[in-house]
Amino acid sequence: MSNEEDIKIIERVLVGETFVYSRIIEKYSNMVFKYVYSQFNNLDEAEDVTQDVFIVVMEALGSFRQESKFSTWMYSVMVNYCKNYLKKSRKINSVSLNLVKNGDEFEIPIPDERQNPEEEVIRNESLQIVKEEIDKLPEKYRSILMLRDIQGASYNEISDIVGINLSNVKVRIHRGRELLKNRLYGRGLV
Amino acid sequence: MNKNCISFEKMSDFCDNQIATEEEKQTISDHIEICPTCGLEYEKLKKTFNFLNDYKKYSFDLTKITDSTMIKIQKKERKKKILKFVPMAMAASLLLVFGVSFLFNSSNAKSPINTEFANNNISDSSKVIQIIKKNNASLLRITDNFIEGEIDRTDYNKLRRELGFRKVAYSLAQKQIPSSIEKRFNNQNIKQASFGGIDSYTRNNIYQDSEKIRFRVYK
Repeated sequence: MSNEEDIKIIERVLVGETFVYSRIIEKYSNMVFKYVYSQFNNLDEAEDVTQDVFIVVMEALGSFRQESKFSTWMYSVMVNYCKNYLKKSRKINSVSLNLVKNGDEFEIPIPDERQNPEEEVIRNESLQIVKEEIDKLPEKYRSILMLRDIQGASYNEISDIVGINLSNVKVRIHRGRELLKNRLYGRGLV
Repeated sequence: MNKNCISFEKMSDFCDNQIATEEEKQTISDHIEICPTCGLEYEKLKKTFNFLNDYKKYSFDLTKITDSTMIKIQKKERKKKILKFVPMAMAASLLLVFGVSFLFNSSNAKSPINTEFANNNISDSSKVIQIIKKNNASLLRITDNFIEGEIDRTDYNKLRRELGFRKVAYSLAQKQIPSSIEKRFNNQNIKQASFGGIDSYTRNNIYQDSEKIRFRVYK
């Protein structure tokens, strides 16, 4: 589906045919989910945030001026939403799940209530390692590497999405790739 | 690494197909083939790119995300529609309330109570006059703002009670002293008449207290 097809769908959504928005979700859900998953590293939270992103995007469709590709605009909404979400969640006080008894520390067991949690994770072991190593990258490299190498955004688009200049985008991409290559080498993958 | 070796940035651009000219691409490619250090680095980076590409193509099963997002969106849309309808419904109900009360009032417009209400000022003035006459008070003046009268001191309280809620100002009525005997009464229980500052007589008119009370009933 090209940008022109995206625009056609958006126009239909804007005149009230909300149901066609599912085609946008189907097309971009994997891209958005991968980015969100790399930011949160928690499957349930990543799923919730992915849904939120699509809802926020839909609610903001009226403000899309078609000055860029729809995907670029959507990614910038996604990046900002994740940034704000992380900021908010950092403000929430978390309670340690460790229990101290007679000076010894025990972890409070929390049952996994998902029906088949194994189904959700990446089945390919190598790709699981790749994902883990991407997640470990410093945030400033990770989000830009995701936008370039997973979402396929151009340098200029990334500059617009993240709001940093082009040379900085390039520096961060190269640095992120170098770090990832070294980490994958350390894991015996490359 | 010698001075001809490829920087990581160049190699990264090379793998990402970001080298602008064919000539430069060829130079990098040639160097990688002859330099074992750069060749090894290139292999590692190329594999990293392949893994990234595989991850890019990897598809998570997100059917339930599509479905649940659409359900959430539809719920929100429904809420929005309801919220849009709320002010309209409020306006309509207000209109209904006002409309009904207007119709109710106009249908009862011919009743005696409403006539009295509409002609309140006229009917109240005549009522006041009736009350004044009934109490043997004398009617002195009727203006746009008040009705003035005079009554015996002893009867005033009864009159006041019958006038009820109406605003009434009163003062002890005073007799004008003839100028010939003015000097005799000078400084002896003589004062100017007034209605609590509402009205006043000319400074030169001299009055003496009488057994009458002068009152004004304001409309």
